[in-house]
Amino acid sequence: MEIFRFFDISFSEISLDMNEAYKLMGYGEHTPGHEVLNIINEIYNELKHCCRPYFGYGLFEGKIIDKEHIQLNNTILNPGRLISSAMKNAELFAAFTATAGNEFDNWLKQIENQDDIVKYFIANTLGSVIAESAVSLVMKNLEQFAFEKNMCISNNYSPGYCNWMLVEQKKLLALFPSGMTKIQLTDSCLMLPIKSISGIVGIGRKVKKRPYGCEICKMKNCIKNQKKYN
Amino acid sequence: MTDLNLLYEAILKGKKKTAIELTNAALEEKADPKSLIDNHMIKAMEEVGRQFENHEIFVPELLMAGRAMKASLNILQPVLQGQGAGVSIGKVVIGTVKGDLHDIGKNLVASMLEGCGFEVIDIGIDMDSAKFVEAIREHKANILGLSALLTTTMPYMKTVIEALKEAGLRDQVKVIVGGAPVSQSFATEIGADGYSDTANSAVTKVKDLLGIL
Repeated sequence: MEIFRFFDISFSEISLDMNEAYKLMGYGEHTPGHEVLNIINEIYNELKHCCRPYFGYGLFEGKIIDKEHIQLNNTILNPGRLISSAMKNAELFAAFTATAGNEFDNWLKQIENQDDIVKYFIANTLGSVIAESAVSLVMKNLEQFAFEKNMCISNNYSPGYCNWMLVEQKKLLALFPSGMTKIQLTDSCLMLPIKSISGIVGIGRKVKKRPYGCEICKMKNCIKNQKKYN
Repeated sequence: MTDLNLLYEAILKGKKKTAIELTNAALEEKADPKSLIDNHMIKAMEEVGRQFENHEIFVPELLMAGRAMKASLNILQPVLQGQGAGVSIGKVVIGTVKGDLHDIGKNLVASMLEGCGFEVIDIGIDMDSAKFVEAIREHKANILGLSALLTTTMPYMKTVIEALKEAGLRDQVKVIVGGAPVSQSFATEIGADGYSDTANSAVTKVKDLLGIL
């Protein structure tokens, strides 16, 4: 079984969680003041015209080989113990990508060249939120797919987190036909466009959406765990 | 006569345009550029750092202050250079290590260091050890700042430090590390000279390492 679904959407189809954006900007539970909000709104309005998010996934048959390895088609991934465990009972696996798109990257570069660190910071942060929002759409799509088959989905897990090494991103992206994801990898396995996310999701009748990896992971020094330990 | 407290306020509040106007006005009135920097602008940035540490202001406000400071410094630097006086109190090369594209923390630290009188050479993200070595050699920097956000990329900081040793540069430069997953114990383990968990404390640590405090 090999199914690929990709979606090219407009900026208005993405619902940005601005509270998440404020958190990423360091505000915690606070709200930015009038002046910063004006800058955010100005950037948001610019984004409307220069951002075309793109996301999708491939569905693969596979199996958990051992405590650290998962096989998707003929590809053996090594996401580590935490992620392999979260995929327990999966009958299908989704490999996904989501990106704010090349247009966003080009626009961000223009802002960087303006040498305005405030605008760049806010634009950069909004780019992260856009990519995360695109992942939410991936998850909604997968949930719907699973629901129709009486199945459930796991949480999503990405290389670079939960001890899954970034270099594995090569194998993950190689699961897709050339050009389909609109994402390229640099020599050090970083994705271009820069605001992109890749990962896997387990699907199955007995798959449980366990507490998110961060809830059970004991890595105190991981960025995703900072809130828990601070 | 320009009220220089307003320059302090303009930088504190991140009012770039006002800071530029007041700096130009003060220069026209023959104010001493060094005094403007030391007695008003750096003091404003120190207060910005204090407020940031106390969560009275947040990252965008900190950056706005840094932006205003930089704009004023850009006006004063040519004047100071014309007088044969140096502006920089130290030279810092900073970058995010290979495999990591996160630059927010790095940018914050760079902005605060610049605001507090350091010359900062920001070499960017996803930088391999050879690029750091090359930059240290080229710019003859006193300080190297290494940033990483991911647990999977932070070990590369050690690779950079090893590369400095191999290049015979380790004794010429102090290395400070930072980023969400980095800790003092990690810094010690990899042989860094310092660690900082905020932009403000990075400035203090760098000054400490250079014996400026």
